[in-house]
Amino acid sequence: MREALALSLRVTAVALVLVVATGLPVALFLARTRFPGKSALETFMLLPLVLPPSVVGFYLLVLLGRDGPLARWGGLHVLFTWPAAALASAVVAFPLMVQASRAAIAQVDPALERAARMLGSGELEVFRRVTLPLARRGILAGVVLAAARAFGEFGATLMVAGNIPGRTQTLPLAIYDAVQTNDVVAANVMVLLMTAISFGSLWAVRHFESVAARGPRTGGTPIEHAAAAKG
Amino acid sequence: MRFTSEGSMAGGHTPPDGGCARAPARAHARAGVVLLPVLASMLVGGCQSAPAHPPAEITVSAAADLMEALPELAATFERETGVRVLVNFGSSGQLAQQIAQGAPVDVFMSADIHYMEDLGSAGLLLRGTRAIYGTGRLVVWTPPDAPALTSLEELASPSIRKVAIANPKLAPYGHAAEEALRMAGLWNAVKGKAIYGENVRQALLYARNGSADAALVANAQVAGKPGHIFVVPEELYPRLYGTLGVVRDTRNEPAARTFAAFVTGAEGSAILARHGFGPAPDMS
Repeated sequence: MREALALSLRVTAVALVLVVATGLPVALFLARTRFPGKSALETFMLLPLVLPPSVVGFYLLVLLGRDGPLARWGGLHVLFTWPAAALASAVVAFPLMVQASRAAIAQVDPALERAARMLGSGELEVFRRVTLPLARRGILAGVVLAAARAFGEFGATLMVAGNIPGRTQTLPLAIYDAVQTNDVVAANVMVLLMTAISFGSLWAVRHFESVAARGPRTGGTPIEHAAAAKG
Repeated sequence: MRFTSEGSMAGGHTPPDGGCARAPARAHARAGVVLLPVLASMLVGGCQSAPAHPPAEITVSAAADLMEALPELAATFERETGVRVLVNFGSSGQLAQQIAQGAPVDVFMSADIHYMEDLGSAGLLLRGTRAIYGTGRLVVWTPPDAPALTSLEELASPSIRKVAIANPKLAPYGHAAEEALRMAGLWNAVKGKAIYGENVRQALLYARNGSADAALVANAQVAGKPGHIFVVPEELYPRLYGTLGVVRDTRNEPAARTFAAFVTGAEGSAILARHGFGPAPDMS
């Protein structure tokens, strides 16, 4: 059980790095641009939210399999290893990160970004010093939601990482195993643990969102004061 | 190491050892520039904080009929050699599929010979490591508080409402169960009340928790345990020769070979026999 928990934490951490590294630029792009076909692209990126885990798992099997593109051209053999679990978790968590941070970034007044640009800031600096601080509550909510989703991933993980104790058996898979083997005590402990973690995550998200709704607190950067005065 | 040497994908940003520990600080300092290489190294290198001399361990993918015998085999082997045995139970078909896709497994213990032959002809096993470790017996198990079955025909009676069987497509015992019922002319009467487990372990659980009134499982799962056992006549189904082999991509070939020899040797055979496996056929 301790092994499963440690593995779950590792899988979640790697998935989260992947999700933030890809989701944040995508969220910024979606919040700040308009182009034909944007709606279709957004819909496509939300797909993992509603697709059955077996469908996500199937796509990943095709992608990661021995004859798949990643193995053939990337030399990456990850199927039935823990990185495959991290990838599966990242895919299902990605839309949550994008959704939450895109909404938060869209709330930031583009005029503030323009002002920073006129004052000579580069794009990266504008993002880091203006957009990110103003949108941080929403982005944080996205990160926590994505982490919780990644931590609880089951279906796609079972398909691409197997359920190998000590190697790819994450906490949700260990619960499945405990139920299959009628290990009631272990199942109870792990189920309670998962429930507590999920509750804590959702509670944190609601907290971030309520603070975000109330607007930035005083004591922030000058640009935050400007934003507060404007709003 | 499972893939390539640790840190080799990081493009020289991280030293081969300890790179993982320092990676977060660097990623923070240089924002996204090093984030992706570091991530790649974590994904590819595994980034396990391995001690200097990790205890040797092997992963054994085992057919679910070994659920009772294998823990004892593993514990004995561990005591004698110091090699830790991680066990991955499943249906033989599912486990073979995982190995064919490159699962990091050292030894495969199948419930029958066919999946092993498939892997062997695909070149996925170490040459000359295939061996039969025992003969499986198909039984009907009913719970202790239910009347004992005295014939296969009783499965067709109305008092048996659900019969648990392992998935015949992936589990040799499931396939054998279907064959036996067909041979006995009972398949049409029983198939409507069959419920399918992913493997024999789940099929047994269905009967143990009352979801099914009887289960067609392996003798080695239930021998010496509470409940009633009716041994299905062996002429009704193809022989279930439990077969093992060392996987070609094993990362611990010496330990894997030693384990295979241990299981088929005198000590392993005795443990398997005690759990209800029949002897391996004399091939000499």
